[in-house]
Amino acid sequence: MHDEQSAAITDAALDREIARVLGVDPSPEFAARVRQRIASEPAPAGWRAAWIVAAAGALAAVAVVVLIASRPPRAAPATAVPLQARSIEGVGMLPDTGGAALSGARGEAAARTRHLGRSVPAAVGQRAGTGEPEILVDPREARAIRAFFEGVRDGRIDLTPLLAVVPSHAEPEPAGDIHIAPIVLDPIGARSGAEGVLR
Amino acid sequence: MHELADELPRRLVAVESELELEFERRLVESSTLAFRVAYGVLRRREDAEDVAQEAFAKAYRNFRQLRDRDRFRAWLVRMTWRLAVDRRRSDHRRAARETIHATEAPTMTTTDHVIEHERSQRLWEAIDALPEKLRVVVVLAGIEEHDLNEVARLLDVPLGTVKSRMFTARARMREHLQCTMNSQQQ
Repeated sequence: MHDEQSAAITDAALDREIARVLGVDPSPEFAARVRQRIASEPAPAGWRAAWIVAAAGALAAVAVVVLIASRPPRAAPATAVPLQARSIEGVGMLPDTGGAALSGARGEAAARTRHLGRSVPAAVGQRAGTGEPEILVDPREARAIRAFFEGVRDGRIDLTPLLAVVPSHAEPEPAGDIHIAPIVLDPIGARSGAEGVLR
Repeated sequence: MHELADELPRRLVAVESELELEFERRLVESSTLAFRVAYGVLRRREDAEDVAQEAFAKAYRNFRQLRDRDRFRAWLVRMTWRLAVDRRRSDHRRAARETIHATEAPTMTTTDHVIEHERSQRLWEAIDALPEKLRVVVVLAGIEEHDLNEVARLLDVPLGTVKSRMFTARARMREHLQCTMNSQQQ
């Protein structure tokens, strides 16, 4: 390189020289010393933290699963009627009152009830597509209403006494005159010592 | 469920073992690289080994946080370089060491060795005269005959930047060596 330098130092010659001076290998025991140093290091904090988080998460998950699995199944109340049974099946068979007895919103409700009675599952909380709530009618009530209407139609039930019933509540008595005593205000007089003294 | 509770620690141990094994693989393939990077700055075998060891210990502590494990070499190189530079800066006995280092040369028996040592000294002086940004490129390119693409990858800078720095570094080194030679001839 001495000669090269005296003339002109080429890139290749320079790179060769640099590679030569840097071509030093570590001692054979270098890797072993690094391993020893690493072995003496405390476990990396990140690893420990990950361990703790993972273990805590796993324990929490296991605890939740155990809790859910060990809980006794909730017994259905004996008197409860299954939701499906409470649907308005058969309501469509309600006698059509011709709309005379029902009017306004009641008529709409009845129409809706008839519609629902056909096929909408009772478990669904809303009518499909309309967003309106489904009306659930106890079949026993439906049977009673049906029987009532049939009874009226057949003449077995006479409703005339109902029409003749006098309202049970009495007319309110007219309110008497109310006497209110006039309010008397004492005149504001100049009393000695009651006011400030002008200077 | 209880199987899950038993299985989880086993899996965690397995994951940790895998990490340990992977780090061991990285250590084997990168130990010389780290040493040479440190040597390129410190030029003392013992110091370079100390710094490389420290870099590996640091890498081990943070290995899990390294998302892209393929970047391990670049990560290690930068860490080692920084540690070595810090070590060199903070080492107040550097001048004394260089004196000791210089006195080691005359123990060489043959004249060729003495000449080679002088050549190396001149080259190191030229490298030392470079600013750090240029020096790191020269050192990395000189280690294991890295091509400039590899240097760019290790330093995480564009290839054009590396080429430009290499060009400037060579020019300055040539100039430095030429001046040295001329002064010796005179």
